Amino acid sequence: MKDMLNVALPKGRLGEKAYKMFEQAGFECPSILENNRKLIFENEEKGVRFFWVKPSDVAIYVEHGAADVGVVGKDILLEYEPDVFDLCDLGIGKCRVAVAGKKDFHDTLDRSLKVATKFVNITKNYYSSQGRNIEIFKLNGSIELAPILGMTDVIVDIVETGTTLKENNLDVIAEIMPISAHLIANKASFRFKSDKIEVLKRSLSRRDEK
Amino acid sequence: MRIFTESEEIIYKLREIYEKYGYRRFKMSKFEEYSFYMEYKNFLTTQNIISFNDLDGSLLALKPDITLSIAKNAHDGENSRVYYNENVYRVSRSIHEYKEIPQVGVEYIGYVDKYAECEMVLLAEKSMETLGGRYALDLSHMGFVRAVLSHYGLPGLESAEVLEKLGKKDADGIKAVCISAGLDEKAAQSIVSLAEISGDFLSAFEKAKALAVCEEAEKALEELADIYGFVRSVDKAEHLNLDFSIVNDMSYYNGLVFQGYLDGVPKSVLSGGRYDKLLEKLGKKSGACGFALYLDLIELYRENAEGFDADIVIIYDDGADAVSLEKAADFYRGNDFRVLVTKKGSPVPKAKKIIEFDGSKEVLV
Repeated sequence: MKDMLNVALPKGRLGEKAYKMFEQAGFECPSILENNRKLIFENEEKGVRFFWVKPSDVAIYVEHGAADVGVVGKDILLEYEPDVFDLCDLGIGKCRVAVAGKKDFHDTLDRSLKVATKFVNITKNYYSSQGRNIEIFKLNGSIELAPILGMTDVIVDIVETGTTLKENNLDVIAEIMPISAHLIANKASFRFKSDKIEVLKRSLSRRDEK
Repeated sequence: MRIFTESEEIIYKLREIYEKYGYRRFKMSKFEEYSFYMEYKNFLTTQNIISFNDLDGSLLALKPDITLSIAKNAHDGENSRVYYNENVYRVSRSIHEYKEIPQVGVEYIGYVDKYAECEMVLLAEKSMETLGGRYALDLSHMGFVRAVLSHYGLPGLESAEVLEKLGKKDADGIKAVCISAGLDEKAAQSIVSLAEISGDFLSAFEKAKALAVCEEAEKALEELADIYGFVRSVDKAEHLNLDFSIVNDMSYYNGLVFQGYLDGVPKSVLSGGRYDKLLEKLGKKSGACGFALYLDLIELYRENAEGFDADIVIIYDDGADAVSLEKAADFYRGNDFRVLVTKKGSPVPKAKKIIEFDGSKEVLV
């Protein structure tokens, strides 16, 4: 019981993809594929326990030790800066954080730029490195709406294919950084379950090289 | 019956260890001049400090750190071995509010040599053992890390970035910084391997040897090996690890650094190292070495509430005689139980055993 490896996976497509990687690395847990409302799944024989959590909460579970390892987008790591080990890039969930605005938007630099985003920290860091004065409007969803309604000049958000932007007449103005899913580990767990975590890290990152 | 909480008991045991090694308790005021912290703010793990005005208008602060005050009061030419058990005031990262945090720590300021360092690691080892349960004490060396980074010619700004990523074992990130700083693949790979060395001291040490690229790095490794050998000879070393992801600010910590982890507590509960450079910045010639234990984490993650208000609750009726009621309760107190006496009909406290008082003095459990 005590030496089970607790894994926090993000609910949704990314988590399912990540689970497949765990499965191939020898940490399978067939019960997870059953269609039910359970939150925790374990395979005692393999010594692994999975649970599904909200993607933005994965890092919190890992930082506080409820999960030993987790799969989380780099955007979350940069935004919340959790005190965890960032062990490897899993090479899945690839997208980018970008600045987008209306097709005809032109930044005139003579006033603060109004930016809507849910990534306050990333946005602040990006614009302060550019020396641009900004006003941040923190939103929790449908960020694209802000420039369409004229509430802000631009948005800073995750862009995957760009379809949502296109359909709303928005364009990418600048790319801030590429994003992908990472394997993270709790710093204390890493010391006490290092064998398992090292094996996991090695097989997951090797897969990435293919 | 348990009077002391787990962390109170731990504090007494720790004090006993430190006293036996000749360390004296350092008792100090909770206030310090605010400007002092502004000058040395990078030494602090927090940038937020509670400040207030003294009656003469000068700005004071509630101490966010004890080591700085001890170092400030140290005199050149003296050997000062002290320990403290004080509260510090810092912002809790998770709730973003000020918190009062109990801290116990040990400092050795003066002629710090290899023996003093060995003693400090031994005290850290014994402290971790006192906390109870499975633990690990990870060693690292800022001099070693600095030597490797400067050997490959990594500029200062990038070094700081690499250090930050080293603390997260972010191998991909370190590599990206090295490559963008113009380092070749081989040099970048060597620096990346700093992040990959961890675990059991002896086997990690073998891997570290490959990175001893210059005299300074070799010397640092030798120092670590000596400390390990010392602890193994006089105590036990199976809890000692080597892990270069333990990084402290290079402008204050110049040599040995270490951190202790307890199974079941998600963050390091002990942190310390050699910080001669702080003393240098304070204009002193002494060397310094020490560590602190964060007891709030132990309270938070290890102490389980019993879930009872008392061991025994005695419930009495309206007509009960007060004297015989007290005598009955006292009988149990004499047998080391927590006893509560409550009138029938009032809310009943939660207890392991509930006894209805029937007038007799001695009711057997």
